[in-house]
Amino acid sequence: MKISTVSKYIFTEFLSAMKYFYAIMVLVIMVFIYLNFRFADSAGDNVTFGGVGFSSLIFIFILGMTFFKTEFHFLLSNNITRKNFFRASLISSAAAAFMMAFIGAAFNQAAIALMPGSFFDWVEGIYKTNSMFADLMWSFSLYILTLITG
Amino acid sequence: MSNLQTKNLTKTFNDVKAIDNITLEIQENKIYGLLGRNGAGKTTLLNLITSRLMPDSGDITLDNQRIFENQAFLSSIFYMSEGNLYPETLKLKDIIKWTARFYPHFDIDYAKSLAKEYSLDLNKKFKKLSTGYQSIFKAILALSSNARIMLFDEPVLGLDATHRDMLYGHILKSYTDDPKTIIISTHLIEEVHELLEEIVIIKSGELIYNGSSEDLMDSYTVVAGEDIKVDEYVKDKELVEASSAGRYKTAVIRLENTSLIAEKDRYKELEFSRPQLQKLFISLTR
Repeated sequence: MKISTVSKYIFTEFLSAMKYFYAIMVLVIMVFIYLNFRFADSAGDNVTFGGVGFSSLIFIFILGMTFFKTEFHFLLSNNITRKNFFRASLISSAAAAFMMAFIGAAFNQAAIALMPGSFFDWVEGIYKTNSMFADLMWSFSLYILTLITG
Repeated sequence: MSNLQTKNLTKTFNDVKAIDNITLEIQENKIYGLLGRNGAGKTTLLNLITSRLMPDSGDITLDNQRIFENQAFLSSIFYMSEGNLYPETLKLKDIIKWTARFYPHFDIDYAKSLAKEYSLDLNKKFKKLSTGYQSIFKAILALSSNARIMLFDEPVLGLDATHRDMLYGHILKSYTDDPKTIIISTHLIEEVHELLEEIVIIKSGELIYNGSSEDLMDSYTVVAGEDIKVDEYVKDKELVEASSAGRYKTAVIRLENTSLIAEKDRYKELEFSRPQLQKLFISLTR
């Protein structure tokens, strides 16, 4: 009961930060799509977009660095044990990493469809397979590692 | 009856013993005053009780079971700490919402009504509050938690006289409506002493008194008069403290108040009185 409540709280805090991140990402993608339509092929130039993977990694690292202290203090003030805090942190981190991997994959698919030939995701590209599930798991593993490292 | 107990509790920071071998019993459904000078170890003791700090040695039990990292027991304690541990960017209503999820008996409506009484806007963010209103908000959370044990560390920090008076009233009402164990750590002894049934005094990490407020004050007497006569009277008694102003001397001695009438009759040239809690505290901890 306590772990699920604590996990929900931490995940909610992750979500509120993620909202701003993806709002910026959508804006950036829209700018790149516009630039791609406007300038690509007109003078032999290409506008390329490196995907949301690397930005997600930076974001999730910063999130990992900042969330721990604030959330730990708040949960400490509600007499949540360290054991429950760490368990809940792992659960919510895994949920956030999976969600970001999923959203990242969706963003990339959309970008590939809208900017064919001008798109390459840096993070997915490190370990690209033909299986969408394997790619998703790769991003998830990388994100959760980065979040915990942060 | 279930009690909160500490046994041979010790906590050291570097080479300083913040808590030195404290064995203490906190009885259920009583209001305690945790008194001590700055740095005496009051906050450290409260942090140890709530597992925010790990003791070097000793144990803390509730209902004869270890409390350390025990979620069920810790959830029955609400600790209003002096420091601010709340996320500064969260709105007060969101802090209330989440705190209510962590404390099963939390009364959200009561929290809202208290906020209204103190004119506290729950749409504000915690960081926007003044020191006084941060204290009020934390006290509202504590009072609404309906926890079995409530710990208040400097609950009136930054509060004006009116708000302090209101808060003491709300603590007392919470206690009379639903008796619980309350520990109040404060420096404003005179203001709070009427609330306190039991007193715990800590001096340099050591426990120097744990008992009823009445017993404490009944155990000491203030003797005043001409210095020679006071000196003569106290020479074979346990002197706690003495101070002089010219030839007028005041001494605090360990003497049961029950002997006062007889002493007053015998030594008519001396004035005998019951000490005030704050004066006695100063004498005992100087």
